[in-house]
Amino acid sequence: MSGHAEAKVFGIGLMKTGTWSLHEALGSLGYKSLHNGGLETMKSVQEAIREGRPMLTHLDPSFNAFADIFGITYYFYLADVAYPGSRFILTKRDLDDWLDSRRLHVEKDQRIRAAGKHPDAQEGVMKVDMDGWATEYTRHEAVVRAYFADRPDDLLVFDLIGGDGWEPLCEFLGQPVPEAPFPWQNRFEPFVDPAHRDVSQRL
Amino acid sequence: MSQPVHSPRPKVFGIGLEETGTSSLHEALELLGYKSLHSEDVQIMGSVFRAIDEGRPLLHYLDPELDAFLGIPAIRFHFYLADVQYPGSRFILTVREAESVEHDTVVRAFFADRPGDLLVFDPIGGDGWEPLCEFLGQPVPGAPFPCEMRSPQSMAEPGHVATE
Repeated sequence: MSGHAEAKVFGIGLMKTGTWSLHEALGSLGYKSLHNGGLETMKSVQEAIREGRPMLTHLDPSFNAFADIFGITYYFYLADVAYPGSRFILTKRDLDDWLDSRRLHVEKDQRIRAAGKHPDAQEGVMKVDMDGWATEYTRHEAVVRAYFADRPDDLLVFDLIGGDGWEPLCEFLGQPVPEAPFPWQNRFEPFVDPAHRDVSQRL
Repeated sequence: MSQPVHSPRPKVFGIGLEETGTSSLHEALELLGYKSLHSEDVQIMGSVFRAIDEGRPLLHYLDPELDAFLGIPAIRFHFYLADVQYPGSRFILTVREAESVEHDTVVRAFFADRPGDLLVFDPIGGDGWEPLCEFLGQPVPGAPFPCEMRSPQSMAEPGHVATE
């Protein structure tokens, strides 16, 4: 569609905005998608950035879609320059829901850490910082929208929990809508307290 | 011929980190006739972040007469927004010799295919009027290039002192 051999699909929403569902949906559409990839992936992307090389240099070249990879989300504009013709998908959700989800994640990590079982516990990521997180969330959405303001065809803002599904995604990517239902399995992301799961009243 | 309609000249964004000679560059731009803002003032930075968060152009809350901006962390950090919001702008990355930092690498990578829009400039290492004026399309002034005194603090920083 784009005609660019290097064109990819980059999911550039922050964690806990439906990135896993996006990853699964892209897989259903035939993309070879990499979700998060853990510390190894994060480090290899960061290493390529520090070397001044295209950020996917050290990853398996067969991947053509990416979601929830910190260096890519943060330096999305470098991905835009290095991989012309790429499409960007900003997953988002209600800010208060996102803040709750992130707080619950940290609180769970803190409990695990207190029990001495956390595998890669780091200071900083273990702290609840609602104001800082709100700024981070708001600013990320603002800079992404501002960067693509004159190129609406290259950015899809996708609110899974708000009801977005196959139609906007497939229209954006120029793909036929699959028969299968949109992947809901991790719609609410891991670690969300059951008390916060019922968003149906808000829909 | 009639007088050309006034059109603002391209803006200049100095996006180098602290202690890279931004004060010299600021003075040099003023000598070249730019209205330059060189500031790490938190209120100025706050006004840039406010514009970003509100979805407005970066410079929305700054004096519209200004046409050069240096040392403002919020702008340095989001230089790619300045690039899309102020088309035709020129970017100057002041650097310190032999220092490799992620910010500089990111800036160079972003402009890799557009070398004409980015000047990598090392005033402390001796870069002066010639590359700057060539980049900006300005005549070289008669005055010497402004020389920045390195602050005692930066001289004393580990890694910045002579190793012998």
